[in-house]
Amino acid sequence: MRVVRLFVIGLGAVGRGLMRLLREKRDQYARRLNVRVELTGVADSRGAWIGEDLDPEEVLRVKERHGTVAAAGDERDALEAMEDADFDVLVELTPTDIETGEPGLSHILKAIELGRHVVTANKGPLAVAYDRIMRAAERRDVIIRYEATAGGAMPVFNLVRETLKSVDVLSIEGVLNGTVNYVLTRMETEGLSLDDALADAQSRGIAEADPSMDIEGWDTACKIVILANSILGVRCTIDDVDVTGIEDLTPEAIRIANERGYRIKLIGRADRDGDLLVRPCLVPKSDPIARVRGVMNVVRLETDLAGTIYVSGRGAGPLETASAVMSDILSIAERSPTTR
Amino acid sequence: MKRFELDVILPDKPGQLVRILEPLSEVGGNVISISHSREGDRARVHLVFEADERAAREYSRRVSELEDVKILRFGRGPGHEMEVVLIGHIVDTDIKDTIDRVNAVRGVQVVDVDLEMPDPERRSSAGFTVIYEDEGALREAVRVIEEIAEEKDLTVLFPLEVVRCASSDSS
Ligand SMILES: NC(=O)c1ccc[n+]([C@@H]2O[C@H](COP(=O)([O-])OP(=O)(O)OC[C@H]3O[C@@H](n4cnc5c(N)ncnc54)[C@H](OP(=O)(O)O)[C@@H]3O)[C@@H](O)[C@H]2O)c1
Repeated sequence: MRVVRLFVIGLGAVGRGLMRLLREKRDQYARRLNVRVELTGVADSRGAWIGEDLDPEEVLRVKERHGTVAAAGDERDALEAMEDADFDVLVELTPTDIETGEPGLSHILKAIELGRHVVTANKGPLAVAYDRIMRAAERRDVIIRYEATAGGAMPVFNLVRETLKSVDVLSIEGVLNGTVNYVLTRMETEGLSLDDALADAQSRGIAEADPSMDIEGWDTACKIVILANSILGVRCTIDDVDVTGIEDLTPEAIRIANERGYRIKLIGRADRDGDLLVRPCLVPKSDPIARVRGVMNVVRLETDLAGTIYVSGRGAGPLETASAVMSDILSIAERSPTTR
Repeated sequence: MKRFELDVILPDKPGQLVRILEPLSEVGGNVISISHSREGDRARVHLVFEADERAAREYSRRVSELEDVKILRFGRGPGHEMEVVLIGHIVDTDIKDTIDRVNAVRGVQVVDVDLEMPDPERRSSAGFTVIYEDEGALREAVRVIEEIAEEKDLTVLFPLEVVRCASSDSS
């Protein structure tokens, strides 16, 4: 039996989703994949809790009751706690900051320095410092996995890495933000204004309290940057993307587009030449990209040998995202020589 | 219905345009766009219309029989179309100027304009079709529209296909 020990930073929606997933599926992974996933550290913004084999159920309970795992551990910050903990994989689930990449960037670099693998759902560090992270990882011979950063549960990076080994991907394009796509869908079907559609998305827990990153296109831009670096080999950061959001979109524009046979979608696009853009586009109603409704995401990969491939799936949600994080953890466990 | 175009020269006098438009409605065709430019004491008219193949031929025969009217060109086309949607203060920033500037691109014609202005305080939205002769004309039209949008602070939406080509061109 291989053992993989996790240090999880961030116990928000995704972190708690991961705890639930561990609680419910850990035994099954052991039987089916011969991998035992253990939890040896957790941290939130107020402290950390280190232990030999923490019970995810207990972590959830402490977090819920006290608001922080410091209640069971102590007030050490995550960086310090990492030095003291015994773990194989850092799971980085703190909030995305696209200007500095922090606090995720420091957490990731620290783990690499300690010779540990990293799995993250946090777009910030990769959008601002992809190259730096990968170089450091290469020097220390550790694995970095980030399936959840673009398209949540929808497999893209792992699909290309594992299944499309024989081809070159020429361009990547798609609908990468569920909140925006939900808002556009509501504006189209109900004739709502952007503000009303957003309020509806917030009341359903789809949009965040401050949805400006989504609406202005920056979230999509982050994902395009990570996809371009990882899949197209284009070295770029968020500053290289030409970004237009949907903040000016009107229901009238959507209706006019509709009458002319189109839907409006916020498209992110990257190609091998390093052209990176995010902008609302007219997509013919019959196009697979136009058929993706509500919170769903879709990616279109144009390849040299295999033609055009579309992948579609849920772009967000705590359990969906945690499932992508867990897949990355399991794939590291299967290939990593450092796990026992 | 198919799309046709007709270029004619006629005297630049009142009432001349009607002479060439009447037979079109008689054969059951629809005007898509018409543009008119003065050349000395004569006028040149570029007409794009939709009609059945047979009606179109009948129409060109009738026009050719009109006195003082010379057909320069009659045929299918213009072949390609691109839809464009604009959002912003379209009217305040002079929609006519916007369209004229796109029309000024060689081989390009704006037709079928829809404008929706829900309330003067808010942003309006417009859709139009750009008819273009070839790839070169399309590229230039896209460039000019982007330039106008930038200058007038409008949001412009192009078909995904056009965005794809534009992004692979520029690099
Ligand atoms: N939610 C989704 O569906 C989804 C999908 C794809 C990717 N993502 C990405 O996944 C990451 C996590 O998302 P989320 O929705 O779970 O976010 P969240 O609910 O805001 O949770 C963030 C967590 O990070 C902790 N944290 C903040 N600063 C910290 C620091 N300096 N040190 C240690 N912990 C810190 C917070 O601690 P406290 O609990 O003490 O506040 C909280 O537990 C984000 O980067 C997000 O963009 C999310």
